[in-house]
Formats: sequence, C-alpha cells, structure tokens
Amino acid sequence: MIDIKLIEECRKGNLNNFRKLVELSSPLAFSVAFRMLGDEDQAKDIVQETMITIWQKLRKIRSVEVYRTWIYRIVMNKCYDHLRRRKRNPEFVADEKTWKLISDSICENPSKELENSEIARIINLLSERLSPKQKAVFVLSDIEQMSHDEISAITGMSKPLIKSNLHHARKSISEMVEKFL
Amino acid sequence: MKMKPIRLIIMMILMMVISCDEPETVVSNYVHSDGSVTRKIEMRSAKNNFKTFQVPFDNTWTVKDSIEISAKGDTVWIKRAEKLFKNVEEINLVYKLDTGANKIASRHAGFSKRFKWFNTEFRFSETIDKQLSFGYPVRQFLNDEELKYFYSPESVKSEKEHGSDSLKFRALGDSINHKTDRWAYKNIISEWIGEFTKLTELKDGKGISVGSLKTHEDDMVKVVKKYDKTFDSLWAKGEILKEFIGETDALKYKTEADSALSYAEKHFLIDFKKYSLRIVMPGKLTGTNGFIDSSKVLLWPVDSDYFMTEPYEMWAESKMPNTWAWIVSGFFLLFVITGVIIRIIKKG
Amino acid sequence: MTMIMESEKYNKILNVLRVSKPVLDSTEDIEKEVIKRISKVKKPIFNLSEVIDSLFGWVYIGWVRRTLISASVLLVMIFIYQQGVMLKQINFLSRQIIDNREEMRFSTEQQVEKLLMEYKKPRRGFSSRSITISEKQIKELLDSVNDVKTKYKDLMDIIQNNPELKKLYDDKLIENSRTKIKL
Repeated sequence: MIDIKLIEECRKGNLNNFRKLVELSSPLAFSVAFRMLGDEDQAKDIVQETMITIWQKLRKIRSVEVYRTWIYRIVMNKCYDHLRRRKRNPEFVADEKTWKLISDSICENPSKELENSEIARIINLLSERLSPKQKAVFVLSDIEQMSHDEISAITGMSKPLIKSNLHHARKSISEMVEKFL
Repeated sequence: MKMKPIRLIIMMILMMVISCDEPETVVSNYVHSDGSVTRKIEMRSAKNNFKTFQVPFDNTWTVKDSIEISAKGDTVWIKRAEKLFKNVEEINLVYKLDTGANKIASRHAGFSKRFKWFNTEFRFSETIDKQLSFGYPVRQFLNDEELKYFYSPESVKSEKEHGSDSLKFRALGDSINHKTDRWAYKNIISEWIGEFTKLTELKDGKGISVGSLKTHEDDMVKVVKKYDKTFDSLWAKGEILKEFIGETDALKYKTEADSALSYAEKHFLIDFKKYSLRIVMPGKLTGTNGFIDSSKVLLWPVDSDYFMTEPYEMWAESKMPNTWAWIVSGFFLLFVITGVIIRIIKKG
Repeated sequence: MTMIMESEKYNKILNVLRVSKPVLDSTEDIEKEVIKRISKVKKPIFNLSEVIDSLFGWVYIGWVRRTLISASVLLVMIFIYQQGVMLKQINFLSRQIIDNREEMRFSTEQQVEKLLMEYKKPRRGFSSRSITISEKQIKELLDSVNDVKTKYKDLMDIIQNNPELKKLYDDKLIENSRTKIKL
C-alpha cells in the first residue's frame, strides 16, 4: 500500500523503499498508459520514465493524493508526446477482425476479461479518429471512471473543455459503432 | 638639625603659583589600540635655559627646539621631545630611572584592554603615589564645588577669576585656600603623630598610642598656629612637645619626636615642579576624571598638593568597535533569520 | 429507439473495457531498469536545493533551532545594551564639556573679534543683516588695530636687532614659501 511514510523514506534516498514504491505504482501507471497507447512495450517505457521522474520530484510530494495525481499527470503527458509522434506517422488501420472481436465480447460474455492484445486492438480502433486530448478524456472518464475534477487536476483542462472533448469522443466512437456493428 | 618653621613651610605649599625657573611643561600621551604610547613633551620657557625637567627624557627621544615671539614681543623658547613607547612598562622604566626635577615622586602608568565582543574597552592612567602615610584626603575639607575648582587647571581658574563671575570664583578660591590651609596643618601633624607613635613603640614596645594623640590633634593644630613665629626655638627647648604629650613623655621621647618631625617635613615639603598632563585615547572617549575642553582634549594639572595624602590617578577610558565581531555577528544573525524564513516558506 | 440501442452498445463496449484491466506481467523488469537508470544518473555538480538543505537542515531539528534563535536574540540584546551604555557615557561626557564651556564668558576683546569675523563674510550674506556695535567697541577696535601696528613695528625691530632671531625668521620664511610652491 502506498502511504506517506513510504514516500518519505524514498525521499531520504532509500532505494529499497523506492523499489517497493515502483512495484506498487507500476500496475496503476501501466493500466492508463496501455489504454492510451495500445502497445505493451511503449506502455512499459512510459511507466519506467514516469517512475524516474517521480524519483526526481519526490521532494514535492507531501501526500498520497498528490502522489496519485502526479503519477497520472506524468503518464498522460508522456502519452501525449507519443500520440503526437504517432499521429505524424500513422500506423494503425481498422479491420473486420477487430469489429468481430468487439461484437463477440459484448454479445457472448461481457464479463470475460480480454487479453492485453485484444484490449489494445479495441481501444486503438475506437479511438482512431480521436485527438490525444479527446482520447485522454475518454480513457480517464469512461474507462478509468474518474470524475471531472480528477481529470481536470491530471490534464490541466477546464471542466467545460473536458465536457466538450468527452462529447466529441463519445460522438465519434458512437458513429463508428453504428457504422460497423 | 635646623628645623624649618612649619608656618613658612605651609605658606610655601599654600602658594599655588610660585615663581620658579622651571619651564611650563605639557606632557601628551597618545595611546594606541595596541597599548603603545607616543609621548610628547612640550616645554616653554622665557629663557633658553632648560635645566630642570619635570618629566624625564633622554637622547633616545626625538628632540626639537624652536622659538616663538608673543604679541607683546616676548620671546618664548620651546623644547619638544617625542618618543614611541611599545608599552607602559617602558614608560614606567623611564620613571623609575628618573633623575630629573620630580624624581621624588613615584610615578607609573597603566594600560588595560578588555575585549567585550562588539567593542574593545581601553583604560589608560598615570598615577602618582601619595607622599604622606597618615594624611587626610582633601575631600574631607572641601565640598563638591570647591573640589572641582581645586583640581581645575590654572588656565581655567584664571579665566574664571577674570570673567563675568570673577567675584564668585575669587571668593571660592579664598575659601579653598583657607580650608586647604587647615588641611595642610592637619596633615603634617597627623604624619608626625603616625611616625612618632611608631618610633616610640619601637623604642620600648609600649610607646604612646595613636588614639590618645589623635584625640588631641585639633589642639595640636591650635598650638602650632599659636606659636607660629617662635616654633623653632620652642620646639628645640621641648616646650611644644610638653604641651603635646606632657613633660615626662616629652623628656623620654625627645629623640623620637625630632626624628618624626624630620620625617614629616621631608615627606610634606617635596620639591615638585608642576606640569600638565594630556591623554588622547583610541576610539570614542567614554569616561575620565580629567578636564575636557571644547576640543575634547583631556587635561590634568599635576601638582604636589594632589598627591600629598592620596594617590593622584589621572585616567581615561574609551571604546573602539571590533569590526570583525560586527561582521561575524551580522552573518550569524543573517544565517539564523534565513533559516527561519526558509522553514516558514516550506511549512507554508 | 435506435439511439437507445446505440447507447446500449456503447455502454456494453465500455463495460468490457472496464472489466478488462491491462495486466502488467512483471514489475521486476521495470524495477530493475528504473533502479539502474537512477543509479547511473550523475548528480549535478551543484544542486542548489541540496546545498540549502545541508546548510539549513538544522531548522527542522527543534532544539537546535530554538538554541540558535535564543543565541541570536541574546546577541542582539547584548549589542543594544553595550551601545546603550556607551551612548549614555558619551552623552554624559558631552554634557560635561558643555558645562565647562558655558561657564566661560567672552571677554570684550573676543566680542570685537566676533564682530570682525561677521564683517569679513561675503557681502551678499551680510547685507541682509545688521549688526549693532557700540562706540566703545569701535574705540576698542581702533585701539586694537593701532596696537597691532605698533607691536608689529616693535617685533620687526627686535628681529632685526637679534641675529639669532633674524636667522630663524628668514629660515621660516623660506620654509613657508617652499610649502606654498608644493601646494
């Protein structure tokens, strides 16, 4: 469990405790990064870089809440950079197989957990037309189920902007769903 | 031994200004913060004939002679001597080896330096040891105003006695003369009593007690004053002594009485040539028992009356800031205040 | 109806995605890599915050902080006390000087000198004021001037008649003129 004592120990330069902090924080960071990028290796890189940044900025962390917000913020910023680069070099192309996967998932066994690769295919397909900010808001709000306040603290966007981006994201995804499913 | 009439002795002492051939001398001590002292002696005389020196100096000093012509056309011959002494011990050595006019007086200088963090306090003094062992302090005879006037330099007294309040100060001077007259009588008799009782005790172990003679001291003063003109002959016959201690004791202790009188005269009548002393201290002056004129010069007249019955100490104190201590303290305070501010900021 | 069905599809997809959390197979690799990279990072030669922390770390230790603050307050109090005592002593001495000076009254001769000094000041500063001088003082002034003239004449006679004095006088004149040139 991440608590303020662990963070204080890490602040003193205790690498063993920081290792523990990495162990506890990585799954959380990976989840968001993977949903944003849709690539396991890239997500792992993001997690590494995030933890290094956390190590450098440990002095500024005074509470667990601040720490959580920090992690998300750093992950999101690094994901933005990746997504912007990716946009300049488009790689993904939608296919029938992924739509079939989606259809099967929602019809056959909605509670069945998908594998990472399947999750990646679905998210990449759905968010193909979204801007990085729209994707961020979609992932944080609709998938991670965060409040607008939390999203605002992480992304720095105002609530009206969050609502606007979310609306566009949902509309875009809904149109695709309507078209292909 | 021929006895000098006490009255004549006392008159000589009471006359503050005696025409002598000694030069008008001012000794200036410029005290430095390391304890060294630059001594400057300036002697002025109407004649180019410097034989008697109130303050000792020798050929190791830098000596210059010059001349001044006053407004009235009088020639004044001036001799100036200067020397840097590393410490007061060197000055004291010079005094110890003094063979000059005032060698009879035991003089010594003192210097102290106290570190008080922000400031260093300096104290310099010149002291002349007292002559009489059994004398009375002059303050028992003069009030505060008279005492202040008694110790004033001649120039100040002269100014006041010729100024707008001349009547007041002349009357003050007369009062002081009258009182110091009595003081002188009391001193010589007290000294005689002290020495006489000591000698009588040495003679036969018992002697005459000081207390018994002291109770009649005032009567003795009256006797001396009464037989003022014929004192010598009456003393030689033993008549005065009979009046003091009775016939039996007078016969028994005649020798001791004569010795005591010689002793008292020797210490009472000293051939001391007066001069003036100045002290200039390092830093800011904070205390002195000297006379401060408008240019903040410290001045003391030095005369035999002042050290007849008490040591005459001429002292001055000053303070100098310790710059490095101020800097260190400033940095320390800055360091602490900065730390406190940083804590407040981080806490906020 | 179509919209509701579309919304239902959307929500179902979301449910699937929410249930299916991305799984990080092993944190060890990440830990190793992070620790490796942290250890490799060279500390900057000069880290201001570290310097500040090392210099001022004592503020977080209660007794040290309190001791140093007390010492500072004591130092300030000692300073104020010492300076106060010194000022008091100096003021006391200053009052002594004034006392002595007030007792000295100017003689008539000095009053005339004072008036002369006033008169010597530049016209523009003087013309707006007026001075009062009595006939007696004017007479004294004139007597004084005549006296100076006579004394000067006598002085020159004395110097001329005394070879030793004359030599000294001439030497002094030369010395003064030399000084003037230097200036």
